[in-house]
Amino acid sequence: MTKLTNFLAQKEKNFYKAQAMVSDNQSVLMFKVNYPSLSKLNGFTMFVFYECIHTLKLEDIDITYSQHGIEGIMISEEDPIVLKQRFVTFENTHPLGRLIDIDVLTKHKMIGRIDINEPLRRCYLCENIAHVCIVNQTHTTVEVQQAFIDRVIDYCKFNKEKTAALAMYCECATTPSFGRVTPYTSGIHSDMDISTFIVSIQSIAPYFNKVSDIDPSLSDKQYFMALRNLGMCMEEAMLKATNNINTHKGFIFLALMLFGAYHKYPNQALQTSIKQLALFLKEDFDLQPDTAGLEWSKKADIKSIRHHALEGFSEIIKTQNTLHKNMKRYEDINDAFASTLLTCMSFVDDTTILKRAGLTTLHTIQQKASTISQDKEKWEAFSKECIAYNISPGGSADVLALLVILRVFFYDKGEEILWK
Amino acid sequence: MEIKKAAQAGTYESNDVYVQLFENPNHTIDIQLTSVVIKQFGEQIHQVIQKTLKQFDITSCIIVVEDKGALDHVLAARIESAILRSLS
Repeated sequence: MTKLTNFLAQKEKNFYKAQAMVSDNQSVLMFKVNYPSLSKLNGFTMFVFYECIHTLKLEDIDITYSQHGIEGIMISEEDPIVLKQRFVTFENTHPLGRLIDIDVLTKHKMIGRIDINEPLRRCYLCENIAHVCIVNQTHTTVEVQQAFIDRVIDYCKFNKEKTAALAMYCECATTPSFGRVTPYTSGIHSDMDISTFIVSIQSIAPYFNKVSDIDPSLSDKQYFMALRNLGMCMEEAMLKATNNINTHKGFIFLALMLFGAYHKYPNQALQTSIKQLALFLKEDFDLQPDTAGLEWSKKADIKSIRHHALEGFSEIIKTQNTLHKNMKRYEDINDAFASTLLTCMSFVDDTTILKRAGLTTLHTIQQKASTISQDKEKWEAFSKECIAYNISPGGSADVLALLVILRVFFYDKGEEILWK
Repeated sequence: MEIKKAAQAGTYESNDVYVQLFENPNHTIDIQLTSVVIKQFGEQIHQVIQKTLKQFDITSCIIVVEDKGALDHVLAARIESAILRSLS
């Protein structure tokens, strides 16, 4: 079967499944993200999906992940016309509304815009009727994808909560797994899956806006302590949401250091500000080690996440160019993230790998990741190898998410660098 | 060849099309088309339907096409599935 017939057959199957679910006086609501590609699952589409569901305050949605992207189905007893009206208003008014499709299907028919006297949807690139642009193929797939991504970036830019959420979705959506949790697999983790990550993201993201509540006129030390307190609240919220599983501890640290440094010194070079705040991390090295990073920093000559902070994240910020190039180079945005993740794996002394497999394996993994980061054909096999080693590059994945923040929060249309 | 057995393919989702085939007692081809973009593409959609039926030498059927803005090749693929299902 060709890719298209396969795709169409799958779509048909899902549709009949939805139709069979519904009885009289009920409707099925179907949620899909409008991203043109034969592989629609990536961090941007996941972000849009959850952002819209959250805004609409919908719960009990049955969610599936596949090449069709992320799709949701739910049954409702509400009047289908009222429902459709509500969704069309959302589609017309929310900044991400055009990026999602919400269908209302009853036992007997699909409720269309025509049934509620609404004009057909407009294309999100020009103001023509969307169907006309699609059938005429007025815009290339790449143009539409770019417009989608730009719209999401515009929505998140300068908003710490949204940017951080997008970054975390981009990280956990990235496939292959290399041992990590993704929408398709739990990798080597038996205690969590993608839903653990989703609840974690949703529990911690809102806290990032609280960075703006910290008084920038505090001394460096006081400011750092306030950040650290916020970080501890976030860890607590995360552990509560995940039932005591650590999903984003490393990311919370990285993102708080970055947002904090920028908030305290908006007009200073970012790396200098990070270095200044990171000075107070030095004391941690003298304490009894309570994290894998501190423990291994004592044992071996490795560069832990704290060392990166002490250098003002300079090595990480440099890697920003790699993500930037990859996003231009790869047609599938997921591949851009996968390739960048491998680059991160090649230079990060990932303490989650060290903890499970030791220093020799870490070096082997770093070497291999570096060799194949641009060689897509070899990714799947390497991912299996990581699983066979029983490793999961959690620390490198946190760095990938930080790169997404740098890209989205501080960049303008991916060209001009807004930070110094 | 005449369509004897009713069959369908496709969905009512956006950018897809729902195709139904029935036996036609008049032994001709009867196309019943509705589309969200009938004004812009009615003619073009008719052509794809006729061409695809011809490929399979279908000389008699009622074909009901409810188009939600499908691309030509999606439409052709959906008609093809319906025909194959009817003939199987």
